[in-house]
Amino acid sequence: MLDAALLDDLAGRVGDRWVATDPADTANHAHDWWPRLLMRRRAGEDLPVPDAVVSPGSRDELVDVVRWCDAHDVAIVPFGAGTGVCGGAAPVAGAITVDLKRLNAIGGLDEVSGTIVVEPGVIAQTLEDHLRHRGWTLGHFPSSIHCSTVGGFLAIRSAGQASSFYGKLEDMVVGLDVVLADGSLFSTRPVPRSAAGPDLTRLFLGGEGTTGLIVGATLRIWPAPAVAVDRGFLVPDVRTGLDAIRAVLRTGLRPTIVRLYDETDTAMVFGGQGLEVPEGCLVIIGCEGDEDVAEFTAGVVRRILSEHGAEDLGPEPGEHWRAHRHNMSYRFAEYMKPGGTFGDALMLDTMEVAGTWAVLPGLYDDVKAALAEHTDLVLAHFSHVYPEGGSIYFTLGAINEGNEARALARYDAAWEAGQRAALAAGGTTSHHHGIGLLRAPYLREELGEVGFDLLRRVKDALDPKGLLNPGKLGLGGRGGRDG
Amino acid sequence: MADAPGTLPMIPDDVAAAALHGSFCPKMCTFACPVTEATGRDDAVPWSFHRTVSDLAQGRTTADAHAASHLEACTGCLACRVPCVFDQDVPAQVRAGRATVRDAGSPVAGTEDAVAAVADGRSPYGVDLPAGLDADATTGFDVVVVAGCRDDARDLDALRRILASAGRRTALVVPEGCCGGTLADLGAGPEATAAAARLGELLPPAPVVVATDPHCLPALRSTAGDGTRVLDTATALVQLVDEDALRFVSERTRVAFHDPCLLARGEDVTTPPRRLLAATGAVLVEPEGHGASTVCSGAGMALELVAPTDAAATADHRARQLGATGAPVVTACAGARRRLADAGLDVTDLATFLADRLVPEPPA
Ligand SMILES: Cc1cc2nc3c(=O)[nH]c(=O)nc-3n(C[C@H](O)[C@H](O)[C@H](O)COP(=O)(O)OP(=O)(O)OC[C@H]3O[C@@H](n4cnc5c(N)ncnc54)[C@H](O)[C@@H]3O)c2cc1C
Ligand code: SF4
Ligand code: SF4
Repeated sequence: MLDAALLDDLAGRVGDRWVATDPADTANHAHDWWPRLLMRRRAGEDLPVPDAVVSPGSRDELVDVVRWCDAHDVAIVPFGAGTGVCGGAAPVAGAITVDLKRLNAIGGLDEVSGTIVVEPGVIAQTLEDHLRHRGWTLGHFPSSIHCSTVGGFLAIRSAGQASSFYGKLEDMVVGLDVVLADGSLFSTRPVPRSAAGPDLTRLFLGGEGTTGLIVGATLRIWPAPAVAVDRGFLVPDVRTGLDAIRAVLRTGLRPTIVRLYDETDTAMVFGGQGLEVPEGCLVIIGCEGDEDVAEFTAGVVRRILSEHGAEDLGPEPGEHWRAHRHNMSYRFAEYMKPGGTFGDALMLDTMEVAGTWAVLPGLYDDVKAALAEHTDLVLAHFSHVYPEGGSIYFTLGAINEGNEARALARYDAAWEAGQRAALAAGGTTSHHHGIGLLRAPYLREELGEVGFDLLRRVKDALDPKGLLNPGKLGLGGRGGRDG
Repeated sequence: MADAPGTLPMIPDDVAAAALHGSFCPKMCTFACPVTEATGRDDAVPWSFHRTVSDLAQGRTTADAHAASHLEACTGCLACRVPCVFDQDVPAQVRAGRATVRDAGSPVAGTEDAVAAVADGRSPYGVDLPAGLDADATTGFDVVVVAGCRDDARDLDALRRILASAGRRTALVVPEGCCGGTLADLGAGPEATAAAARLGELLPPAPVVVATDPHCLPALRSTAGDGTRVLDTATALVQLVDEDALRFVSERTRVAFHDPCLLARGEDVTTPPRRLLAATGAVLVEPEGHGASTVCSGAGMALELVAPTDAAATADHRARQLGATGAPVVTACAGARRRLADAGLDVTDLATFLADRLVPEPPA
């Protein structure tokens, strides 16, 4: 527990109203959007709250808070919007949670270079609206674009639905500003590429707040596309779909949206709209840009899909997807709340893994089989593809008829089986949701002994006192609050 | 007020169920909330209101000053309702939460002063209201204009001049302090109902009642008699343009229209004000956030009484967007006009803008 005199001192730095200590005032920060924590809350558990929540109003105030923490050996949990799905922003005993939403200025738009400067607390959709009003786009469209902060997204190496063209958010970083554990400010030079030694931004992208607090970024932006040409196809099976998509990418063209649904997910997509469920797998491809570019890309896509025996379903499936692209996220509560659509104690989560093209089919089979052992339903789609491979996004659900303990047990078993299967198949355990507390048990195997030791040494060098987001990424420190 | 000492009035079951549902939503509409954007307050995120109200309903949190402080930062703008696939009414949940904490003895800030002001016949916002009923007869009106508690005499007079130039006989009714809307927003339900009833008694019969402040529309609809149409200013005036009853001097002035939230999202009224501006020859410059996507000026849910700093921050944020158009601003909500003017904008009420452009009456 933090000393009252110390907290008074802290309040003197950021203002009384921005330091909360009463449990009634810190309850919003008791969990992020890790389903396991939500399940515990749903079961009636009063989740531990942070000892204090501090909301600095400027970069200088944040630096002051971090210095103060360093001086008093107080640990820090960075908190953006608390919509991370791995427990990364969950509170830690003896630590303060630092809410970054007040640092939400959108700065200079450089239309010559095609860059924009942002603070970490900006909600991604707010940034996108700001850019669209001025004829630009960031090109980062995660399903959580409406609710998550840019800082949170950078901290976990997020990916959006148009990543096949625009890349992951980490690929859009031109410059980064970070407050280090001792309060010093590290800024990279905003340049397109550099060979001036190793790329130090990589210490913080994916650091999930364990290596530093991201306080600003210069991001690459694009002119907003003039048109979107969306099209749906039906392929006989997952493997044919993967072959066709790979062939499209090998032309050098880059559709913005590429989605391949497995048979089960295809059935959900069609069934959910009250349509007859076809045999095979749905592919949705969206091509954006100036009209000639989009139409040309779409033409090549049609030719290649046809060569792979795909049935052309026309624009409707793609347009429907685009119009409802965030619906599942908005509908989450309907399933997850007490007495939701599938009764009490539903277990529901998503697991995104990735692998090279050679690995991908086996990765899909093995993870799906592993998850199916512990769940009632596993859906999968492939939605972020690159020249060398792609990611698989599994949705896992289990009905538990009111038995919350069973829901948690099945949850843990499914994650253990799914993650180990991903590693055994040669994939990565996470394509874009990050590690947090959820995947901490698997990071050592993912990185290897030497790799994990290297990470620990980097952490020790950057944060010798272990004050930054202790317990996350399996890096120890003061220990997470979630048992 | 409270049912019996020591017992909390229940948050209505449907409100509690909606709040519980929302408390499991991954905060999806955060981007839409202007107060979150302007203040960075975590408890301004619409999800936070769900959680607080749901926890109050379930007895998981105490109805004390802490809970009250988490029911402050909403301006009732309905922006969160637009993307929500469940059509959640967050302000209704905030009102229910505010009523609960008030009944437990911990009202949100500003409530009791507002209640006292209205009981005294004064505006809860401390605005000097023009005199009560102003009419040259007691019956035979075409239109009754009802002032809001933040209106000013010049804008009211402008509206009546426009109506008169279209040949409409009008009466101006000024509520005794409040139509009840502001009190309801503060969770003072019984006093709100009483204020609305008093206003009902003041209204002379007329086929049309025009509320100059969109925040008064719900209260007026509940009090005006059957057969009376309750309209906002823009909708009422555009009908006169359609009837060719109004003529304006044409002038190509650049203007930006700030859509009041309750008009654009609550009433779906976005075209009438634009058509009226177009009728004067004005050239419209659309700001970032317009029409149904308008961004609130902080004028709703009595935010300026409950959390003045946050209301000012919200107004500043909107003023920056409007200011970026480089054009003078016109709006159709007295509250918004005051908030934006306080934030330093050149802002004119729609009625005043139009009245200044009426074709002069030919000399008798
Ligand atoms: C419905 C839903 C859909 C989602 N869809 C996607 C998707 O399509 N793609 C995707 O990539 N993710 C997705 N996510 C995951 C989520 O959007 C990301 O994890 C995002 O990073 C969360 O942002 P946040 O601002 O809420 O961060 P938080 O949850 O508050 O924090 C996330 C992590 O970053 C750390 N952190 C936060 N801010 C900073 C900072 N400024 N500096 C350093 N560390 C910081 C925190 O300590 C924590 O470890 C989804 C989540 C939900 C609930
Ligand atoms: S009504 Fe407006 S101010 Fe209130 S929570 Fe919703 S978006 Fe925010
Ligand atoms: S209003 Fe709708 S979208 Fe917003 S938090 Fe509530 S349930 Fe979610």
